[in-house]
Amino acid sequence: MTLILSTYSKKEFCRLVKTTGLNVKIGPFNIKLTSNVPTFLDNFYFLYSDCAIVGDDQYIDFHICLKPPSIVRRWYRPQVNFFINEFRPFKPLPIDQTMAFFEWGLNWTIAQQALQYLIIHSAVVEKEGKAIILPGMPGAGKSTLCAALVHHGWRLLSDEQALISQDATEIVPLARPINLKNQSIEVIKEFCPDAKFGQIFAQTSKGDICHVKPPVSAIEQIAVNAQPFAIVFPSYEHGLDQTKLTTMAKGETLIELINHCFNYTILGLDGFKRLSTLVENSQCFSLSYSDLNSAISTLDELY
Amino acid sequence: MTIYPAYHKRLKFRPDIAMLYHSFDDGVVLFDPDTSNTTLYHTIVLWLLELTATDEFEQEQVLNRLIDDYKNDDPMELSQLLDRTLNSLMKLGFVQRI
Repeated sequence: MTLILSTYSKKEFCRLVKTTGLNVKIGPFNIKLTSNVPTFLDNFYFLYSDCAIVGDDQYIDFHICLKPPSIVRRWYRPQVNFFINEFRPFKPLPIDQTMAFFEWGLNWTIAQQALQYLIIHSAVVEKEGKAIILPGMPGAGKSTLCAALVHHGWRLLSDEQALISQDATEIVPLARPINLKNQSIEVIKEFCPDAKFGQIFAQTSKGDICHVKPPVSAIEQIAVNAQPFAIVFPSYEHGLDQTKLTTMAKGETLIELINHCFNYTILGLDGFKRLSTLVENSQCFSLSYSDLNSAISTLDELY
Repeated sequence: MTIYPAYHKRLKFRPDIAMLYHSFDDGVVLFDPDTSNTTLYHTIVLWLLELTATDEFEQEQVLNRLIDDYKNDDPMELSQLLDRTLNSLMKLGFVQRI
């Protein structure tokens, strides 16, 4: 039987993370987490409560530690550092942004180190075993659309990174909290009353940020891969009368998709082959929307 | 009299080209493994590859064949398209002058 994080009381969870560290399975990765930042521990316990706990005999992909830089910085303008395998890749951030720092740091770590996957900056949702990849630059509305979809019958595979398998025939789930920014926080609070929201982190470098807890069903099916079915570039356009789904040519899609890949150049020819196969086997569209109900219906009609 | 800008170049695709391209309906995508640059080309490149991928070829010869195969298109435009494409392919090292 799989042990999940919420099996531990919050007190016990905090004790373990502060002392020995706790091994948590996030998507296909085993992460050893250590931290002594109380607000972060509260947020993590809430957002990742359905994730599996991994035994010490398992291989650990990433050792992540979040802790204040010095005794002085615990009291004067307190800050926090992010360590990955004892390496500190970033400058410290204010301590009240620790949860957001963890999410950004983990994104960076996966993009840098998980070279077994071709990684695309995109949300991924699934229905009937078939996945839709939603790549988009920050602000395109992919997380908003993703949050709306996963609370209306779709499975969350990822909000931020599509992990493409070696033969490009499967997408590996990486269900983590959905990262909403600024106005989209209120939009999703209204549109998805069942969604569970974490704390709002105000005035980060990306504006106000709030994480939506991944649905339990997404975590329960974390080991179930999905087949690529469509690539849809979403674009939120305020005041648009009608949702527009436009077919995109595949060559053009491939070139556009390269701009959204984290490790395409590192993978070289292998990355090109994977991306070509992915595009070849997927329907390709751009989606302009302003109304979430209409956007969801449009994507439903693809099936 | 030749009215097209054909330069009698003897040319050859780089030998590993078969690994470096993927063709779609709207064009051919070529990948440069040295720089990871990826470029979308006109479908004429697929036509060229099918004809000459493993052999040396002469630009004028290929042009005549192209004009023959695409009878409905303006020969001058085809000539210019071929010239532009080959220049670009040569610049990126996919086609070499021999």
